[in-house]
Amino acid sequence: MAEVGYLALVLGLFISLYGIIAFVIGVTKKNPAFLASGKGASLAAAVLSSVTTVALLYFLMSGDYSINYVYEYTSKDLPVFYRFAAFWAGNAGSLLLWLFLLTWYTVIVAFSKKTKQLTPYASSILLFNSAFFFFVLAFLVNPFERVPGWTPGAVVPDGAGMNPMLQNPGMVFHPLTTYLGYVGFAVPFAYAMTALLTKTADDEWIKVTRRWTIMAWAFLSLGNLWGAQWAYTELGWGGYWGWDPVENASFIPWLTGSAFLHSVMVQERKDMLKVWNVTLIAITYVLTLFGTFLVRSGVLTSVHAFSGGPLGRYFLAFTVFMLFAAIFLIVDRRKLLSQARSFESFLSKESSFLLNNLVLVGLAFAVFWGTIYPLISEAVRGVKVTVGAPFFNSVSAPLGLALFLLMGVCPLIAWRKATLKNLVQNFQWSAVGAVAVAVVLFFMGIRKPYALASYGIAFFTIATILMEIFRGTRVRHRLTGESYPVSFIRLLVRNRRRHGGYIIHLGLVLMLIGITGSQAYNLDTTKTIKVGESLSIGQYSLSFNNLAEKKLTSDKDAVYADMTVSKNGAYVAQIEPQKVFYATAPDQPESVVGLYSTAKEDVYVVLASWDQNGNTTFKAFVNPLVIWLWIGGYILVFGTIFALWPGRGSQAGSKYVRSERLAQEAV
Amino acid sequence: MKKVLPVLAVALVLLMLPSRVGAAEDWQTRPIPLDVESGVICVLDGCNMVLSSCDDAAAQKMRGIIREKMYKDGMNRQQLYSYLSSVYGESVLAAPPKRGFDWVAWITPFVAAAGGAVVVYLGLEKWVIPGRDREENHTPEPIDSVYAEQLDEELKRYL
Repeated sequence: MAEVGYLALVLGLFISLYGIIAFVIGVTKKNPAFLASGKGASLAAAVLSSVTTVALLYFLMSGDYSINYVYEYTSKDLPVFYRFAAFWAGNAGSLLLWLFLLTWYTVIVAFSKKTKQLTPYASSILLFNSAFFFFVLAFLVNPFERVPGWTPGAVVPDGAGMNPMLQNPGMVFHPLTTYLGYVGFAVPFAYAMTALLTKTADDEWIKVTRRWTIMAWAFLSLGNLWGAQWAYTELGWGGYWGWDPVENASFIPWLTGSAFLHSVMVQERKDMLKVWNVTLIAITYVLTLFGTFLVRSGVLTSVHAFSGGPLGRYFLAFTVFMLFAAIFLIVDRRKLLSQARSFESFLSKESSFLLNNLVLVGLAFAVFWGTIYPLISEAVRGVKVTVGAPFFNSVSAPLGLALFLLMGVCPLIAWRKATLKNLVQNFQWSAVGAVAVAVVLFFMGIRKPYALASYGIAFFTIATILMEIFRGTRVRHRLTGESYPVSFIRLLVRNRRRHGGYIIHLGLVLMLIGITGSQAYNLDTTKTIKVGESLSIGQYSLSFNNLAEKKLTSDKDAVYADMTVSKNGAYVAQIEPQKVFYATAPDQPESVVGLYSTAKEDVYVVLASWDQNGNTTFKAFVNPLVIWLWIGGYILVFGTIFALWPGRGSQAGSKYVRSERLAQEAV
Repeated sequence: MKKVLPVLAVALVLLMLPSRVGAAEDWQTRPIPLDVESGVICVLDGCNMVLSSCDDAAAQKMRGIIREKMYKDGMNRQQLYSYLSSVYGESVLAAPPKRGFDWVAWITPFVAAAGGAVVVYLGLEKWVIPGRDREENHTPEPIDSVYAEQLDEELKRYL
């Protein structure tokens, strides 16, 4: 079986290379047989990656510990749920997951009937990516490698087991969604490069890839969200985002992908920003590769990183190659992408999108810069520095607030041109309300400037969006005579693309509220107490009732503290912070947080340590408004699905370019 | 008076003793502010996590050092960070210090954003059709037939 899996990898490499050649011959010679053969090769590559996937899953499930990957990430006692998730717990498996997704995405593209002219080129580019991954898996990180010293027929009784921190439901969902996002961006990139290769200057590639882009963005959003939730509940440090290089590696393409999603609207409506859009999607795709390079190269210190080795160099070479290929194509085809002078005002939706892109890309650059700065410092000064949360919070806060302000302003500015009068009409009440909110909060005791600005901006953005929906509902009610609820629902449904965007913005603002509250006004304390004593934090008192041990499964025991949470003297909840000890990793206990979560704040307690005298140390946090971060994240995902849902209302609006007829009439 | 002074001195010492013992116990268990821990990397065992996120034995040892320096030796945060970086190197700090070459780290994102803003402005200067803004402000341009058709089409879709 291992040989079958490995053979499939090697065959997959050659089939992918053949597919590229077949497509190239097919389009250059206009030979349908070769084009069909290229499609067949795409399908064969996907089948072969599936064979490898099934083979590795078989070994993981059956527990053949002679396979090194199975040995390293599973053990006899590991539940089936995590045996399955072990597929992407390690380097080879996660690359195989990437390959599996990529090859099936390629099949969907290759067999697409929408754009027969662009498809062969796009498929070739995707197959080139697949070939790289087949190569890496076959020759650098073979997932079917046997444990050292293994001889045929020998049985390895048990595995080393999965890292306890990975034994969390987040392990199943976070990597999968993140990879679905990462790999998804390969498709719009392939089509963008195809447009350049085929000298197709129109926005066909954008139309074809819109769903791909949004899906990739949504999955990456979900991946980041679930990663943050996992960190919050599993790592026990009271936070959810540590600005680790690997976290940044998935956040940066999310930012550039967000910029791309906005700037393509300008191309759809105005036939402008063509060079920028191609550049943005190329940057986004290259950043997904860069992130993979970071995790696997060992050049930066990260808690998420896989061990180093030659793989990083290959990834760097591939990333640089794809980057330079994209740059070459963009520079070579720059005349094709040139645009006419066609902004009609400094004040218009299209110019506001430029500002939005400036801030999003500026933020992406700031995070990228902070991520790679340790390398720069080492190269220039020979001194290794760490760039962590204090840096990222400082540089991202002002840019982030500017972004949220634009989120409130941009959607209500008209295409083509807006006037100052329009702006005042649209925003006066929201702006007055935002200032009033900031003043009220100030007198309620919130004095941190960033928090005041953040809540003021959050109110402004929510108010502008809700007022816009209210205005639309009222107009629809007047014109159609429908009841207000019916008008409201139909308004949203009939233009799902626009209103899906508003829902996404609302979700993001709720996330901002959660982030601001939890960052600016969290409380923490560390205290050593004995049973019968209590610790206080804010308005809460945590009574330590008991410290005991219980057996969870045959391979894990938990030491838990029974605690009563009271607020201002009144009982509110019972919590049980734990340390879970795994037989496979007794020195690496897993923290299970004691959490009491409300809309206002989370009481978050970690059982840090204890001794034989009964001295038990707890770390306790009160994290305000955290739940809104999660709620906002799920609203964002809902908004994306709402906007993407096929049918009436999901299409782009008309172009706002002056037609030739109009131009002639004007003359 | 000569007899009283030694008695007072002894009394003072006796009074201070429990408090000193108490202080010694106190500094060993006093909590470290989260923002101080968040500025330090746990470097002792190479885990390289921010100290506030780390709970292993090395992190406890680092916390012991921080408590000693802050509560026993009376260092403020800046002095503590200087001490830690002199012993463990600059990588013990969670962010580059704001001095010398490391200013580059802090300034570059904002310089880049400002540069981007200039590029956007120049782009708009180049792309905005001259005079259109002024025309609009003084005499509203009548809606031409093509735009009117588009408006109808949009309204139909919108409604």
